Amino acid sequence: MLMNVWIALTVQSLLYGNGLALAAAALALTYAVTRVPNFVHGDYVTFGVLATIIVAYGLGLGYELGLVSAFILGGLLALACYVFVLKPMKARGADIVTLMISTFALTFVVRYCMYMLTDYLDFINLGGISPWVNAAMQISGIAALLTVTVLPIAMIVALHLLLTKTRLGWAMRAIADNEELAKIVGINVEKILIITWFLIGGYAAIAGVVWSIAMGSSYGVSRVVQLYNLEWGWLILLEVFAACILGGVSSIYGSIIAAYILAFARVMGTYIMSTYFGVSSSFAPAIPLAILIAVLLFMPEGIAGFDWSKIMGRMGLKKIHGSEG
Amino acid sequence: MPFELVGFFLDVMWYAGIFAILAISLNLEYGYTGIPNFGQAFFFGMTSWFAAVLTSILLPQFLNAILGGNVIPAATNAMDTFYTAPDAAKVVAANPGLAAVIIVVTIVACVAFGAFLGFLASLPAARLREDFFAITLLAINAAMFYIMATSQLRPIFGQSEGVNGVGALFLLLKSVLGDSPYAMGIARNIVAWTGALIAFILAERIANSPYGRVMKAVRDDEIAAMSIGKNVAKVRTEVMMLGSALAAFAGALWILGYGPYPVFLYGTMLKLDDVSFVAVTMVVVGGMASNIGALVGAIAIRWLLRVPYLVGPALAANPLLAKIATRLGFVVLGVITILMLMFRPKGLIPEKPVKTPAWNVLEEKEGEESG
Repeated sequence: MLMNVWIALTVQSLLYGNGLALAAAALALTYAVTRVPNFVHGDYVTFGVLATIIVAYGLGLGYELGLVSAFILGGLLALACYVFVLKPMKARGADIVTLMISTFALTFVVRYCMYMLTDYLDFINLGGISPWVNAAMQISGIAALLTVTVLPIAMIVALHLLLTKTRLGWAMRAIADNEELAKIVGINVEKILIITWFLIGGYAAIAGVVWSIAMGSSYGVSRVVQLYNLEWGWLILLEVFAACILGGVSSIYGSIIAAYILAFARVMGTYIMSTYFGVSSSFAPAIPLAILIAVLLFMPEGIAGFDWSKIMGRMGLKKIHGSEG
Repeated sequence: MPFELVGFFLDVMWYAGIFAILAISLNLEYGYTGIPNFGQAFFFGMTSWFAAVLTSILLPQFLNAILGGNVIPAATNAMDTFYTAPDAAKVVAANPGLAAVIIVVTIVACVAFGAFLGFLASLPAARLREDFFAITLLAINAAMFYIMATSQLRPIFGQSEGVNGVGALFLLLKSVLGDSPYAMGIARNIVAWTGALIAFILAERIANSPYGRVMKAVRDDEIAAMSIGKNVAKVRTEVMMLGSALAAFAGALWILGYGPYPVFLYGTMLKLDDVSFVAVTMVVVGGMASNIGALVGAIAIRWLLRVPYLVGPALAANPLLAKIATRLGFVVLGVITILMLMFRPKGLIPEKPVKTPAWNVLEEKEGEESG
């Protein structure tokens, strides 16, 4: 009987991790290629869920079309943020903190525009949902299962293939390495940045849907895509940053691994805290935050940036150059 | 209708006053010294909690122990304060000497507490690049928010019921102002704006001094500052302690001045977007490294966020518009901040040169020569 709980918790952690990995991979891509700590990222996630429900349920176009629209609309949202705010600010030579502040300001704009949108949807009573700030819709069990398992893994694999096997991916990696040199080599940096931001928004949007299904029930896969509230993306934003920084800020693979670590920490940690220590689960968001703070204090380079060869050298597993007697 | 307007005005100005202190404190940290403190709500909120605990738990217990007996009803934990605070307030209202003691002790203790928190928060700064440091402060702010939300810690942090404090300063002023309908609002505003004035004068003195020049040097060119022997890390620590102490001052004033028994609620005071980030926009829009700018920014933005609530009732005929109006405040704030950052990154009111005493002498001499 006890074993069942731990299996369920593992499943829950993996599903949560799937969502977090998608969002974190998108944020790592942001850091790597565009070098902006993007605080609107969380709102892309919220927007993904909202868009899915609007298209699939509100407009009655079905779940699959809802997902595709969410990807496209999320991508366009991220693109809009880049074109209207980040690009002109970078052109004016804004430093990284100023860019951060501008993305913060964007969270106000995006989030409260979403509020206005839901106010309007409430008013016209689209799809009979009320209130739209925590809209929910039912989907089939198969659709839910595929969304939280196959879809995120497929998307991550697709990202990997994109980055390693295509010219576009090669160009993105070149820009991540050194933007100036990439320009010299003839890469159309502007075009690549546009595509990158589109992908970032799309991935974050889908991450939202994955997450909302994964979090819908404690021990399995719920069949409800639910928008808990419009603050949701903003609230988990720091978890996504935690995954990114733990993974080693610009490393996509690092952030994916870190996402699963954090997912397990959060799900298992919450369960352990509430069962064995009687701490309420409202404490749950503090777990990834505590890990984030610890990483920033003690290991800001993260997993990918950490100098593993030093540790392995000390443990005698690997010779460090020049340490031969 | 006029009554509501005046009440509304007083309410907005009270918040504006408190935020003015926060904006000035953040301006010293970010505007003058370049420390991106995106978690100012942490220092503000923690100290506010501390002030509530001081005024309704610790100080009454202490005073009872010294004076013997049960002079002031003292709570034993955060949840008790709801019951003891009203009676404690009555005792304090009747006893100005007691009120004065509570006020002085609370302010001093809170400022020290804030400086201590600022010191702790500055420790990671040395090893982190600026965006990571900003995220660290943000994370600490957010983490504290969730820690305070934990129901197990309710005896300490009060959770959703909050911790009631005793508004000794408010009570003192009220006893002078009497019971007119606006007396409460006026008392609050006296507290907030006296505090803002003190913060402003302090910040101006610091900014217009050789130390102010060092702050700007650390902000503008760290390596140049180090090359002339300035201890950059020490300056950052000192400025963070100062800024946090000022934010703590605001937190103490909140509890001492909001009402007879105000409540510390983590949900309002530690909020990342409503408090921390709005303070950042006030500095950025009002004017970086300009104390007047911070003041102007605080007032302007506070009004911007509250005007929709004034206009809302007038739009009662159209419920959709009324609701949308309340959202617009934040959208406009975001847009204005972005426009400012793009076209006028120094803010509305420009930074002025550091006016040390030597500068004033120089200006006089130049005036003599040209006149």
